[in-house]
Amino acid sequence: MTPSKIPPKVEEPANPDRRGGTRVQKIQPCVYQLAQVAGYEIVKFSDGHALALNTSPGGFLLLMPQPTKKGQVFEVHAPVSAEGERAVKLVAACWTRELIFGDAGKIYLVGVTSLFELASLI
Amino acid sequence: MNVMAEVCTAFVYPDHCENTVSGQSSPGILVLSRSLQFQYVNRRALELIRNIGQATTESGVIMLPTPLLELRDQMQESLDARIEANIWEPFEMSRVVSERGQRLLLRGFGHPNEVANRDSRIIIVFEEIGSAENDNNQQMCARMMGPELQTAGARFLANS
Repeated sequence: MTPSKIPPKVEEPANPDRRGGTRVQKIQPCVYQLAQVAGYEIVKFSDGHALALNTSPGGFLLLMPQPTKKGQVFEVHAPVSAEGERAVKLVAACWTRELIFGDAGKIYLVGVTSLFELASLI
Repeated sequence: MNVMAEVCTAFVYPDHCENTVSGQSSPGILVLSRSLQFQYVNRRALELIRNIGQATTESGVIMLPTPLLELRDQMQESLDARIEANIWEPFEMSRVVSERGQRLLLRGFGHPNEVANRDSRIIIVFEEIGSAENDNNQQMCARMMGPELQTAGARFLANS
Protein backbone atom coordinates (compact mmCIF):
# COMPACT_ATOMS: atom_id res chain seq x y z
CA MET A 1 0.00 0.00 0.00
CA THR A 2 1.41 3.32 -0.91
CA PRO A 3 0.98 6.06 1.54
CA SER A 4 -1.64 8.47 0.48
CA LYS A 5 -0.37 11.73 -0.65
CA ILE A 6 -1.84 14.63 1.07
CA PRO A 7 -1.77 17.57 -1.25
CA PRO A 8 0.06 20.49 0.23
CA LYS A 9 -2.18 23.13 1.62
CA VAL A 10 -2.50 26.04 -0.65
CA GLU A 11 -3.42 29.29 0.92
CA GLU A 12 -6.53 30.75 -0.59
CA PRO A 13 -5.44 33.84 -2.44
CA ALA A 14 -6.68 36.91 -0.68
CA ASN A 15 -9.48 38.65 -2.43
CA PRO A 16 -7.67 41.50 -4.14
CA ASP A 17 -10.70 43.67 -3.66
CA ARG A 18 -12.49 43.14 -0.36
CA ARG A 19 -14.90 45.92 -1.08
CA GLY A 20 -18.53 45.57 -1.94
CA GLY A 21 -17.99 47.24 -5.27
CA THR A 22 -15.50 48.98 -7.48
CA ARG A 23 -14.06 52.10 -5.98
CA VAL A 24 -13.87 55.30 -7.94
CA GLN A 25 -11.28 57.90 -7.00
CA LYS A 26 -13.03 61.02 -5.83
CA ILE A 27 -11.01 63.31 -3.62
CA GLN A 28 -13.25 65.63 -1.69
CA PRO A 29 -12.81 67.63 1.51
CA CYS A 30 -15.52 67.02 4.07
CA VAL A 31 -16.23 67.49 7.75
CA TYR A 32 -17.20 64.93 10.32
CA GLN A 33 -18.72 64.75 13.79
CA LEU A 34 -18.05 61.93 16.21
CA ALA A 35 -19.82 61.19 19.47
CA GLN A 36 -18.40 58.79 21.97
CA VAL A 37 -21.37 57.26 23.70
CA ALA A 38 -21.06 54.81 26.58
CA GLY A 39 -24.41 53.26 27.34
CA TYR A 40 -26.72 56.22 27.86
CA GLU A 41 -23.88 58.62 28.62
CA ILE A 42 -22.19 60.97 26.18
CA VAL A 43 -18.49 60.85 26.84
CA LYS A 44 -17.27 63.28 24.24
CA PHE A 45 -18.16 65.09 21.02
CA SER A 46 -15.50 65.86 18.47
CA ASP A 47 -15.50 67.12 14.94
CA GLY A 48 -13.00 68.12 12.30
CA HIS A 49 -11.95 68.02 8.70
CA ALA A 50 -11.44 64.88 6.69
CA LEU A 51 -10.75 63.95 3.12
CA ALA A 52 -12.78 61.44 1.14
CA LEU A 53 -10.37 59.61 -1.16
CA ASN A 54 -12.58 57.28 -3.13
CA THR A 55 -16.12 55.97 -3.19
CA SER A 56 -17.90 52.72 -3.93
CA PRO A 57 -21.62 52.01 -4.15
CA GLY A 58 -21.70 51.00 -0.50
CA GLY A 59 -19.20 53.30 1.15
CA PHE A 60 -16.06 55.37 0.85
CA LEU A 61 -12.56 55.84 2.17
CA LEU A 62 -11.75 58.69 4.52
CA LEU A 63 -8.51 60.22 5.67
CA MET A 64 -9.12 61.55 9.17
CA PRO A 65 -7.06 63.19 11.92
CA GLN A 66 -8.48 60.89 14.59
CA PRO A 67 -9.15 57.16 14.81
CA THR A 68 -12.54 55.49 14.97
CA LYS A 69 -13.59 52.18 16.44
CA LYS A 70 -14.82 49.36 14.26
CA GLY A 71 -18.57 49.72 13.85
CA GLN A 72 -18.61 53.26 15.21
CA VAL A 73 -21.40 55.32 13.67
CA PHE A 74 -20.62 58.94 12.84
CA GLU A 75 -21.66 61.83 10.63
CA VAL A 76 -19.93 63.14 7.50
CA HIS A 77 -20.89 66.30 5.63
CA ALA A 78 -19.76 66.50 2.02
CA PRO A 79 -20.39 69.23 -0.54
CA VAL A 80 -22.60 68.24 -3.45
CA SER A 81 -22.68 71.48 -5.43
CA ALA A 82 -20.88 74.78 -5.83
CA GLU A 83 -23.95 76.54 -4.42
CA GLY A 84 -23.13 75.28 -0.96
CA GLU A 85 -25.44 72.31 -0.95
CA ARG A 86 -24.12 69.43 1.08
CA ALA A 87 -25.05 65.90 1.87
CA VAL A 88 -25.19 64.73 5.46
CA LYS A 89 -24.17 61.10 5.61
CA LEU A 90 -24.32 58.64 8.45
CA VAL A 91 -21.58 56.06 8.15
CA ALA A 92 -20.21 53.12 10.11
CA ALA A 93 -16.46 52.55 10.34
CA CYS A 94 -15.41 49.16 8.95
CA TRP A 95 -11.69 49.47 9.59
CA THR A 96 -9.07 52.03 10.58
CA ARG A 97 -5.41 52.12 9.65
CA GLU A 98 -2.93 54.46 11.28
CA LEU A 99 -0.52 56.41 9.06
CA ILE A 100 2.38 58.66 9.91
CA PHE A 101 2.14 61.82 7.86
CA GLY A 102 4.89 64.43 8.04
CA ASP A 103 4.50 67.17 10.57
CA ALA A 104 0.81 66.53 10.91
CA GLY A 105 1.69 63.43 12.94
CA LYS A 106 -0.65 60.51 12.86
CA ILE A 107 -3.57 60.41 10.49
CA TYR A 108 -5.98 57.58 9.87
CA LEU A 109 -7.39 55.84 6.84
CA VAL A 110 -10.94 54.83 7.66
CA GLY A 111 -13.09 52.66 5.42
CA VAL A 112 -16.75 53.36 6.02
CA THR A 113 -20.08 51.90 4.99
CA SER A 114 -22.83 54.36 4.13
CA LEU A 115 -25.95 53.87 6.26
CA PHE A 116 -28.12 56.85 5.55
CA GLU A 117 -28.02 60.12 3.69
CA LEU A 118 -29.75 63.45 3.93
CA ALA A 119 -29.10 65.22 0.66
CA SER A 120 -29.39 68.77 -0.59
CA LEU A 121 -28.98 70.47 2.74
CA ILE A 122 -27.98 74.12 2.37
CA MET B 1 -5.30 65.58 -8.53
CA ASN B 2 -2.38 65.46 -6.09
CA VAL B 3 -3.51 63.53 -3.03
CA MET B 4 -0.76 64.92 -0.82
CA ALA B 5 -1.65 68.48 -1.74
CA GLU B 6 -5.26 67.79 -0.84
CA VAL B 7 -4.22 66.26 2.46
CA CYS B 8 -2.19 69.33 3.29
CA THR B 9 -5.08 71.58 2.41
CA ALA B 10 -7.52 69.61 4.51
CA PHE B 11 -5.39 69.13 7.62
CA VAL B 12 -2.80 71.86 7.67
CA TYR B 13 -5.02 74.62 6.31
CA PRO B 14 -8.47 73.49 7.38
CA ASP B 15 -9.94 76.98 6.97
CA HIS B 16 -9.52 76.52 3.26
CA CYS B 17 -12.23 73.88 3.42
CA GLU B 18 -15.77 74.36 4.61
CA ASN B 19 -16.42 74.91 8.29
CA THR B 20 -16.79 72.05 10.68
CA VAL B 21 -20.24 70.69 11.43
CA SER B 22 -22.17 73.74 12.56
CA GLY B 23 -25.04 73.29 14.95
CA GLN B 24 -27.66 75.56 13.45
CA SER B 25 -27.44 74.30 9.89
CA SER B 26 -27.24 70.62 10.75
CA PRO B 27 -30.17 68.31 11.29
CA GLY B 28 -30.47 66.60 14.63
CA ILE B 29 -29.64 62.92 14.31
CA LEU B 30 -30.01 60.08 16.76
CA VAL B 31 -29.07 56.47 15.95
CA LEU B 32 -30.17 53.50 18.02
CA SER B 33 -29.50 49.82 17.63
CA ARG B 34 -32.37 47.35 17.35
CA SER B 35 -31.98 46.76 21.08
CA LEU B 36 -32.18 50.53 21.68
CA GLN B 37 -28.53 51.08 22.51
CA PHE B 38 -27.29 54.55 21.59
CA GLN B 39 -24.95 54.39 18.63
CA TYR B 40 -24.76 58.05 17.72
CA VAL B 41 -26.27 61.38 18.66
CA ASN B 42 -25.14 64.79 17.45
CA ARG B 43 -25.06 68.10 19.29
CA ARG B 44 -27.95 69.50 17.27
CA ALA B 45 -30.20 66.62 18.29
CA LEU B 46 -29.51 67.27 21.96
CA GLU B 47 -30.17 70.98 21.44
CA LEU B 48 -33.53 70.28 19.76
CA ILE B 49 -34.48 67.65 22.31
CA ARG B 50 -33.74 70.17 25.04
CA ASN B 51 -36.35 72.46 23.45
CA ILE B 52 -39.09 69.92 24.01
CA GLY B 53 -37.89 68.41 27.27
CA GLN B 54 -34.83 67.24 29.09
CA ALA B 55 -31.96 65.99 26.91
CA THR B 56 -29.21 65.16 29.36
CA THR B 57 -28.66 65.14 33.07
CA GLU B 58 -25.86 67.12 34.68
CA SER B 59 -23.70 64.04 34.55
CA GLY B 60 -24.20 63.73 30.78
CA VAL B 61 -26.69 60.86 30.82
CA ILE B 62 -29.07 61.09 27.86
CA MET B 63 -32.71 61.55 28.88
CA LEU B 64 -35.28 61.35 26.11
CA PRO B 65 -38.63 63.13 26.50
CA THR B 66 -41.85 61.11 26.32
CA PRO B 67 -42.82 61.83 22.66
CA LEU B 68 -39.40 60.67 21.55
CA LEU B 69 -39.56 57.56 23.72
CA GLU B 70 -42.95 56.75 22.22
CA LEU B 71 -41.67 57.09 18.66
CA ARG B 72 -38.59 55.06 19.55
CA ASP B 73 -40.72 52.26 20.99
CA GLN B 74 -43.07 52.27 18.00
CA MET B 75 -40.09 52.09 15.68
CA GLN B 76 -38.59 49.18 17.59
CA GLU B 77 -41.88 47.31 17.61
CA SER B 78 -42.31 47.80 13.87
CA LEU B 79 -38.68 46.88 13.19
CA ASP B 80 -39.00 43.65 15.16
CA ALA B 81 -42.28 42.77 13.44
CA ARG B 82 -40.80 43.35 10.01
CA ILE B 83 -37.70 41.30 10.75
CA GLU B 84 -39.93 38.51 12.09
CA ALA B 85 -41.91 38.65 8.84
CA ASN B 86 -38.79 38.80 6.66
CA ILE B 87 -39.63 42.26 5.40
CA TRP B 88 -36.36 43.99 4.67
CA GLU B 89 -37.43 47.26 3.13
CA PRO B 90 -36.67 50.36 5.18
CA PHE B 91 -39.60 52.29 6.55
CA GLU B 92 -40.38 55.70 7.96
CA MET B 93 -42.60 56.90 10.80
CA SER B 94 -43.05 60.58 11.60
CA ARG B 95 -44.67 62.67 14.25
CA VAL B 96 -44.86 66.35 15.10
CA VAL B 97 -44.16 67.43 18.66
CA SER B 98 -45.26 70.81 20.01
CA GLU B 99 -43.78 71.81 23.35
CA ARG B 100 -42.94 75.19 24.87
CA GLY B 101 -43.82 77.00 21.64
CA GLN B 102 -41.47 74.80 19.64
CA ARG B 103 -42.66 72.53 16.86
CA LEU B 104 -40.42 69.68 15.96
CA LEU B 105 -40.80 67.09 13.23
CA LEU B 106 -39.43 63.73 14.33
CA ARG B 107 -38.73 61.41 11.42
CA GLY B 108 -37.88 57.85 12.35
CA PHE B 109 -36.26 55.59 9.78
CA GLY B 110 -36.21 51.86 10.38
CA HIS B 111 -33.28 50.11 8.77
CA PRO B 112 -33.69 46.30 8.97
CA ASN B 113 -30.49 44.42 8.20
CA GLU B 114 -31.16 41.13 6.47
CA VAL B 115 -27.56 39.93 6.74
CA ALA B 116 -27.17 40.64 10.45
CA ASN B 117 -30.41 41.33 12.29
CA ARG B 118 -28.52 42.67 15.29
CA ASP B 119 -27.16 45.42 13.05
CA SER B 120 -30.62 46.73 12.27
CA ARG B 121 -30.94 50.36 13.25
CA ILE B 122 -33.37 53.09 14.10
CA ILE B 123 -32.41 56.55 12.87
CA ILE B 124 -34.34 59.56 14.12
CA VAL B 125 -33.93 62.90 12.34
CA PHE B 126 -35.08 66.09 14.08
CA GLU B 127 -36.28 69.07 12.09
CA GLU B 128 -37.61 72.37 13.35
CA ILE B 129 -40.92 73.38 11.82
CA GLY B 130 -41.82 76.92 10.86
CA SER B 131 -38.42 78.46 10.45
CA ALA B 132 -36.58 79.50 7.30
CA GLU B 133 -34.07 76.82 8.08
CA ASN B 134 -36.78 74.25 8.08
CA ASP B 135 -37.95 75.37 4.66
CA ASN B 136 -34.61 74.15 3.44
CA ASN B 137 -34.78 71.02 5.54
CA GLN B 138 -38.17 70.16 4.12
CA GLN B 139 -36.53 69.93 0.73
CA MET B 140 -34.12 67.37 2.03
CA CYS B 141 -34.21 63.93 0.65
CA ALA B 142 -33.35 61.10 2.98
CA ARG B 143 -31.89 58.01 1.44
CA MET B 144 -31.14 54.75 3.17
CA MET B 145 -27.98 53.02 2.06
CA GLY B 146 -26.97 49.39 2.06
CA PRO B 147 -26.70 46.44 -0.31
CA GLU B 148 -30.23 45.27 0.33
CA LEU B 149 -31.55 48.79 -0.01
CA GLN B 150 -29.87 49.55 -3.27
CA THR B 151 -31.68 46.67 -4.92
CA ALA B 152 -34.93 47.77 -3.39
CA GLY B 153 -34.21 51.28 -4.61
CA ALA B 154 -35.57 52.65 -1.38
CA ARG B 155 -35.78 56.39 -1.23
CA PHE B 156 -37.58 58.50 1.31
CA LEU B 157 -38.92 61.94 0.59
CA ALA B 158 -39.29 64.50 3.31
CA ASN B 159 -42.75 65.61 4.32
CA SER B 160 -43.36 68.97 2.79
